[in-house]
Amino acid sequence: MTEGQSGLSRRSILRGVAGVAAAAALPGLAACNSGGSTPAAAPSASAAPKKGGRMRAAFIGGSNESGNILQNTNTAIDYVRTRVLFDSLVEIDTAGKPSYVLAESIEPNADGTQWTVRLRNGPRFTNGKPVTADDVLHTLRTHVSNKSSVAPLLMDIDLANAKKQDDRTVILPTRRPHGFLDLMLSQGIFIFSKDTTDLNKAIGSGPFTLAQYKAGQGALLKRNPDYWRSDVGGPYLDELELLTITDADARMNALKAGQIDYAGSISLTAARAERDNQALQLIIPPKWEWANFGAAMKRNKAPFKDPRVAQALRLAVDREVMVRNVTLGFGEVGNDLLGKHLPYYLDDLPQRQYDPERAKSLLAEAGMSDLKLTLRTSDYEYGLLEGAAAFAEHARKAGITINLDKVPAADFFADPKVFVGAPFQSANRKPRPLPLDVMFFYGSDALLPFTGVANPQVDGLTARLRTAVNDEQRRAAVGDLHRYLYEEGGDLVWARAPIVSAGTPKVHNVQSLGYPSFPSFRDAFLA
Amino acid sequence: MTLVTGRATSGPLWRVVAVMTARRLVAGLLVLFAVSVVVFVATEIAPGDAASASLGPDAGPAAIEARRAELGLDRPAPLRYVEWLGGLFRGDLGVSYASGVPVADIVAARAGNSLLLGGLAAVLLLPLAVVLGAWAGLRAGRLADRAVSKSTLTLMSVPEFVTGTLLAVVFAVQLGWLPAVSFLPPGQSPLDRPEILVLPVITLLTVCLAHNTRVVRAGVAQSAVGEAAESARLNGVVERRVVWRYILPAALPPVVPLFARYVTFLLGGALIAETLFGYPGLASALVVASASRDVPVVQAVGLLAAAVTVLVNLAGDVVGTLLDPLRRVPR
Repeated sequence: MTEGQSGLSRRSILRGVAGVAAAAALPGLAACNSGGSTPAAAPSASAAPKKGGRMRAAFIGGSNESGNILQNTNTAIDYVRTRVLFDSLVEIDTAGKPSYVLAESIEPNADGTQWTVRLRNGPRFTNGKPVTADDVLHTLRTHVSNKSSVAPLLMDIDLANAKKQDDRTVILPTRRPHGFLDLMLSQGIFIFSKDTTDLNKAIGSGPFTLAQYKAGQGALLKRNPDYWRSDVGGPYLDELELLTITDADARMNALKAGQIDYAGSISLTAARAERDNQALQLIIPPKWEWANFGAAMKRNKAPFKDPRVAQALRLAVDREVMVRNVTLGFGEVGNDLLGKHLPYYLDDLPQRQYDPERAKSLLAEAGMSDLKLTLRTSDYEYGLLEGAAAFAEHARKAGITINLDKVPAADFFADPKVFVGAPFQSANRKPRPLPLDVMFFYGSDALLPFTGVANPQVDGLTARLRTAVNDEQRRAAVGDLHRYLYEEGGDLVWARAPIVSAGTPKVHNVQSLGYPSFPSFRDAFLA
Repeated sequence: MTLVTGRATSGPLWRVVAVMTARRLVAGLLVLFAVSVVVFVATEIAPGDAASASLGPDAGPAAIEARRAELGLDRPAPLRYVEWLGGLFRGDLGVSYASGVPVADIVAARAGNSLLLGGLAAVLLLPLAVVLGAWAGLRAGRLADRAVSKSTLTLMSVPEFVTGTLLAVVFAVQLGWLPAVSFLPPGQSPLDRPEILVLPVITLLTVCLAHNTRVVRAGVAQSAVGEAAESARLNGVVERRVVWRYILPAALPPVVPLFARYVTFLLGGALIAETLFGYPGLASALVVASASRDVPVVQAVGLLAAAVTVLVNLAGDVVGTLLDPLRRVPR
């Protein structure tokens, strides 16, 4: 899903660039590479969990919010609410690895043509009934038959032939070999009871229950006193109040005025401004969850067809400057591959450097010394337009002219033909666990072929990855694909930057667990 | 008995007003129809639709096609428009594409919130503008006048979001007297927490007050030295009576249409104030609905805003006619 932040004007970009020297040194933030929260100023050691209290947290929402379990990705606040009212079979932990929730195990057969989900003994819905194989099948089938937004993730499961082996065991045959259904099932698929009659009031098994809800305003949730899970500690809060505040600056104001305890997704400029504010803490997600800022080149379209042009563009961006000026010192350099800091990421490839002279000579070799390009970009989130403008600046030294085609925020993703088909456009990819992204972006049957990378060789590589059922196979397959994409891919990833949230110093243990824009409050507490 | 002529604009006052109201209501219906066509065509021209907007960038073409069929967006546009219009005549505003919630529910709650915020600002606006404007106008050229003129000019030249941000920083973040953000916890209405209305109302007032005050001031200053006032004074009428009987009645009617324009602005949802303070009103709903290509919601809010504009302007003209001294002279 996309997420709006207040668009920055030209003036604030310039201000951002001017004020960068001050932000360059951010020892505390840069060092925090995994998990949890970083105090803006005073380091408050992680306190011991404490029961009780009401936490008030604000997120993006609006009149398009939905209480329907199948539309939980409509807005950030919908997802946050769904996350604590329901449980998934499996979630992604802070290291980017699957961690079982309702499931006891999710395992493939040797060739990935059949998966077995074994449920834990103990999880119960709020109506008192145990979570069974029937509920899992009902959930998956309802998503697919209602064509929900996660239904495309489930397309490889042969649901017609799926069956329950016993109350706690589900057998899921696949239409074609599938190597990572466990990761797939972590992506916004929350199990609800088969006794659910109204999808707007689906019955869950989560750590909180819904006391009050009004779309567009918020929800009051109460701790589920009978929550089945005991291995994680939570839920600690008596009450969780979720509030819709769509404007990022307004969320920050509400936090500073003491109206809320937690403000989801604040802008990097606001984060920089509040860095020394003792009354706040900035909450930085683990590095693998940081967004990948860059651009996508369509490698099957001119002029990017020519590998020398693609290579020249990779050399025409100054990544260090991007980190300082665009991520305002909060980010790190990218190396044109998705999945950095995730298991299976190929770490041994050399870091690309800024080399405008080499870029120039590559273009001369290709007979395109006077290369003029148009980059489709937008300000739907901070960092896109800013990065595109900086890129145009850097590329000029290599003799490349990049014009920016600034598309209104609401139009950027509006027409799939346009945004999937654009030859050259800004990108801000939110990471998914590594092997997952591959089947969306590369190969002949990619869902979203932004870079147009598709040929028998890459199809072979993605096919091998698709069927990689164990760690060893996954590592080898991701490595091979990364090696290929590093040279032949169309992704430019020049910088990676966190989605920063902010809270009062009393807020602890709000965990992103894969989704920094809509974190989990299951184990959150006030102390 | 007055002779009834064919001209609608003459005759007894009630008749003039009745004819004008009837004509304007008919014209208003045509305006509403035109607005609905324009809004529909505009949403058709905009790239993408509710299916692509609701599924987001990760969905892929097949899923979007499926959603499109589910929402009925794959059928011809004129057919969808006619169906929507038919629903409207039956009093059915349809269901939001984005959330599946009946449009009437979304719009009703927010219209109430907007009405409260805008209505409060409007109710305060008129007396403030008249008092300040008259006070300055009767002292034209003197210190009080210059002070009012300078300060209103300053307020006018500061953009709404700057005023609002400053107010929030000072009165909410620094002093802690008022909430910085006017969100509503579920289950509450703005009436349960009137304090959330204070800063948005003040922000709106600072935007609207300046212009209205200046127009009142100009009218009062002019009629204070006008023939009617001068001859009243020469006839020995006391100044207070001159003000109430001659100056204000002459100065106010031209302000009414302007005031009506500001009231429609205030009631139609004041976007900046809503965004800045996170207040759940109509304008922010319209922005979200437009971005998510939620045509039924956009249509409903657009029609409501157009209807309010038509009605408030009509009310303004009726009041203006009733106040017009020339009209009150018996013929």
